[in-house]
Amino acid sequence: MSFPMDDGRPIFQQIAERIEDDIVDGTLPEEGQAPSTTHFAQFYGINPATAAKGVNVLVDQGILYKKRGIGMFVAQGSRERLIIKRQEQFYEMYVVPLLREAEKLGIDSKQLAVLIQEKGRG
Amino acid sequence: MSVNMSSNNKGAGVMSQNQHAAAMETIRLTKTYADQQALDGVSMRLEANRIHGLLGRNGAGKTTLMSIATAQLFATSGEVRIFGQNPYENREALSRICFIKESQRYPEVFNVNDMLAVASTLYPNWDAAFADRLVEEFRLPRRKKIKGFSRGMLSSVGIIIGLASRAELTLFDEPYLGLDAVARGLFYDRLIEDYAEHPRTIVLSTHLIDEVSRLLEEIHLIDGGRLLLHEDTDSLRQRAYTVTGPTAKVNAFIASRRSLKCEALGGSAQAALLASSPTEQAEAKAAGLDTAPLPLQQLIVYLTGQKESDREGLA
Amino acid sequence: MNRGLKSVIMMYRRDLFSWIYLPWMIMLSSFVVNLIIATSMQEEFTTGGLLSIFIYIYIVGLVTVNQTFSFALSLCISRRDYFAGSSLAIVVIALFHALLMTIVASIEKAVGSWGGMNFFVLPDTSDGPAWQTFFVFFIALLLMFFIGFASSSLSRRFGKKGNFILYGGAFVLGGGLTTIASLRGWWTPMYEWFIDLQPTLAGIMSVLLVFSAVLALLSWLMLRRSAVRA
Repeated sequence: MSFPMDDGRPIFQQIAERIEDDIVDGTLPEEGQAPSTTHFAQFYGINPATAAKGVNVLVDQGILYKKRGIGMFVAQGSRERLIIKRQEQFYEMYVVPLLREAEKLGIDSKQLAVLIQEKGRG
Repeated sequence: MSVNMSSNNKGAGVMSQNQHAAAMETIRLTKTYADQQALDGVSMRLEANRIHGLLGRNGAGKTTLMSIATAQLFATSGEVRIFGQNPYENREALSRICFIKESQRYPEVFNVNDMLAVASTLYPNWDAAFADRLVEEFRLPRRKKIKGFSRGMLSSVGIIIGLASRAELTLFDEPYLGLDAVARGLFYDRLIEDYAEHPRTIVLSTHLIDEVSRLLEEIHLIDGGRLLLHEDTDSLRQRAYTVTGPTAKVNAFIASRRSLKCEALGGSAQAALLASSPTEQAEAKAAGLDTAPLPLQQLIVYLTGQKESDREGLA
Repeated sequence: MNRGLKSVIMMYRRDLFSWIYLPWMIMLSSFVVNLIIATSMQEEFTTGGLLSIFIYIYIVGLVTVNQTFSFALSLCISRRDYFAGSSLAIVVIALFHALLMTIVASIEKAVGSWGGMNFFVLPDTSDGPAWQTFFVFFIALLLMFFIGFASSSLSRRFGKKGNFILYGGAFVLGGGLTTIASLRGWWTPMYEWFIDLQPTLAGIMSVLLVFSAVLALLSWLMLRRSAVRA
């Protein structure tokens, strides 16, 4: 049984992000072997070529590297690099929409800060 | 956007020689019936060893196109090439095709066993063990006459023949009519598994795009007997988006762009667009609009629901 | 043998019931009915029961194209292979039936009759040696099949219009000619001409064989331009 994934964006991009997620949260350790494109294709029910394209995005970025005849492995230092990249994206992806919604609802930045701190404690 | 096929994915083998050849090609294909123009100058190219989606509404000309490509029907004008050859009375070219027709009728007396026996002599790459496994999985009765099968069971027969044939060019015409969600899932799973191990050219012709869009590498959209659009699926996903915001802002944004549909509700509006440049969505954000991806099914509906005059220059 | 031809033959082989068993079941039931009648009859007679297999084979020819042509084509079998496979199938089937009929006819000849009834021995055609009887049966079966086959090929190629024109045309032409022949008193000279030819069984059968071949050729010419509409 495959696990459908589709949020409307290009599938190869979604695949690349899923692999990144696994590296960031440690499911896929550095120097660990990534599943083959066939596995990705079967698991997510997508075209193998599209899965390969997603993997290749990460190869191009140096996150994954190819061992001839064996498969794909997570490069040393990948997790660190991805975390930095994600931190850079964090503002754009999470803070901006948060602030916009808060503005709509009339929550000012002080109140917002309080909310975050309370949640953080609880 | 070019698709870079890594060599570990598409293994070397008999079929690798066709890697960059067209499995199927049509040149200004036209089919005219007394009462209707079924195909109107369709020129298309299906690259080998990919999964293609032949999409379009019912009656768009998909089945006619495939019938001509398999030499069952004669074109009024234009040409068809299957792996570079004219398929008419061409044993070599025909032996490389498996066409699963939606309206397929079987001889009166035939049951599943009969059909498998014929298929095994017919298709050079036939995998009998795989076919047997599929019959089990789709829970088809082997000795009951196919004539009495339900719509879903008929679809299952087609799927089993199509998959186990391993034909170099396999055409599925509306393959999952009448199938429930479980059986459809089974079809997608087995298709991907088998395709990964035995790369070949697969054409899925359908008007229901949602579920299969994840499997398609290329989309060929046919409407009113014409090829409306041909594009890499992911690039199409990237280009299709919606903008939401105050009506005035949305209208200003879409005025100079290719908008497929725009609807206003109260003071705000939403528009569906097909981007002509990679920066378009960023421009929308900069203009203070919310953007979101537009699902492919929706895109196709908007594209094929349009009036003739609105869609010039899309293909 | 190529894969297309093999598959067409396989297709027919899956339906031995229609091709082999059913015509004999029909013929034997006719045989049984006639046998019952024969017990109450005083004099010897010949039934027409044997004709049932010829009519049956004609009907097989008539429905074959309908049943299998579009099916074969949708399996990407060439028209040539479909035609060759179908022709080969009917030759084998006709050989089989003719052989069996000859054997039963020989038995009938040996025992004289079935309680006063003649069933498999036809007057004037089965008088010669067994091989001659065999060829009469074989050629007649072949002819009946191709009459049906050509007729259904015609409707496949030209649709209802084709059938209408052929049968309508034949009816008008035939009706016209027979009327003229009767009015002008041509029948007697024609009959005399025919007798003058001194037709032999072998001669008639040769003509029928050629006629079967012509029908087969016409079927092929029509099928090779026939389409399967989506």
